Amino acid sequence: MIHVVVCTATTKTADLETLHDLADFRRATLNMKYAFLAAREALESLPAGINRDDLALVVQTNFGELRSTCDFLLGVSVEKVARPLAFQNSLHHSTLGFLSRVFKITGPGLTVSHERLNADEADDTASALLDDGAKYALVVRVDVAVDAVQGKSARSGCTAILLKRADV
Amino acid sequence: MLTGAGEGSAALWESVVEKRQLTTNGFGELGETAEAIALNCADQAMKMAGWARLNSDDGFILATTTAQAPLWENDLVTVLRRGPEREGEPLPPSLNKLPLGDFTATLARHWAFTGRTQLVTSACAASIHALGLASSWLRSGKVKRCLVGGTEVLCTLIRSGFESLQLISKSPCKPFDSNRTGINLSEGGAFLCLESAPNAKPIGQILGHGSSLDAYHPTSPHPQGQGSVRAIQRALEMAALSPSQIDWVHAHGTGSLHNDQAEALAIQSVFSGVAIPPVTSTKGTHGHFLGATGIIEVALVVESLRRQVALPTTGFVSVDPKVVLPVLAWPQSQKIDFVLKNVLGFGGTNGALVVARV
Repeated sequence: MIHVVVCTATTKTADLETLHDLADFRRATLNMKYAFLAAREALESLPAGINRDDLALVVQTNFGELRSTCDFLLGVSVEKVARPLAFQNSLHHSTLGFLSRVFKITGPGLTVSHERLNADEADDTASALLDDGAKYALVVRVDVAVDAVQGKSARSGCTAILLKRADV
Repeated sequence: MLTGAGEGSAALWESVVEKRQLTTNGFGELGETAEAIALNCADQAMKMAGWARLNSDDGFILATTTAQAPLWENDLVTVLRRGPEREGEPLPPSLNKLPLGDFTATLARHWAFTGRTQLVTSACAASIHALGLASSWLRSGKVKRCLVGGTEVLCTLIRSGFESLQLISKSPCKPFDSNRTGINLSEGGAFLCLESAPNAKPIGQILGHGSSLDAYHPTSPHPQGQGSVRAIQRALEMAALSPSQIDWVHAHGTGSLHNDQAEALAIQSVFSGVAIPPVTSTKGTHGHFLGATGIIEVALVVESLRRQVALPTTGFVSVDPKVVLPVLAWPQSQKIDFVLKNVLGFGGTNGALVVARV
């Protein structure tokens, strides 16, 4: 089945500043903030009244929560302290969990990775969830650069796309 | 399959029947790289299925959470601790393996495979999600056959992380037991060959799958297991089965206080109004394989379907009043046509699979 693209959105880095004072974001990583902004914009096109059980969520990330992983491993190595928050934030899947909580998404959800961020691979996964019964699927592709590892020319960014099942 | 019991699902299945405990001080180590485990398991699975090679119209889906982390963890810390005077120096080659997707690409290159691939990293539900995704690909004709694998190895991030959450039990875990004290973590892997129309005699059949999100907490499941209920109901609906047709539940049953309680409530909810079938967790024998745990346990289920024996819950002795389930303490010969495999994971992710005898 060919599904329909409802909306696409891209995070504007300047908008990250708007999240600083919000309670939901105190413990959020930069990946989560990038993902939130793009997802929020894409979800503006979700028709009112759609049951959140019918909304699928796919997060695609290449490096995952590398910044949190660095924080956690440095804590263990240098300070000899393992920080639970850094650990739970370091999981590849933590951004998806965050989005599901903030937007109350309770449908099917997967985090996927690929050698590089590839729109086709993520959309393909969302398409499978639509084929399996979800009415809408939100696909969020996010990566945040770590200068020490990826160099200062590496860019952070996020895009989101909302798909609709063709027969809805 | 490769676990602390050795090669093949029969070895682990027999260890579970004998109620052996394969973990030591909370961990079950293999001492192999993720790549070695994956290649070994894939080789076993493809030989058993009669697949000589992967073709370009096949698919390959891998599930893991940390994959090659042990190869780069130390080098990453070294680079992060470098002073600014060393900025611009070449990075250790191990850091090329930082993106998780590199692992899938490495395996695909090993097989000269150019077809459709995906890596699922949905925490402890990853390999059940991978099997579900593969089923969708096959049903929609996107691939002719699909190799699905799960591999997990232990690393500093995982060991220290779970210890920081105070979830590790230094003694063998006791799923669903009133005296359970936490989980054990283990290394291992399993691969399965999925086909719509198999040439070789099939060893089991996936009838339905479901996944869901709790939208509740970063690490704890929904206390009433509401997300898990939705995942199970989706799997049953896809399988076109009612709860009363399920003969055995192979639960996630990690041995953690909250997981077992939430999962028990989810199972009770799904089977309300009908008799709850026998429930087993096999983690008391082998520990928790994180992203690979689902597929390893599905391989055990398939072995049970063949032998018509439901497995025991090693370490389970006394019923927790908050976990009122018919937990199997000993192996049980019984009719098993349909099995529900259930998983829950960090991030509030859930997965369920209905596996049938062929």
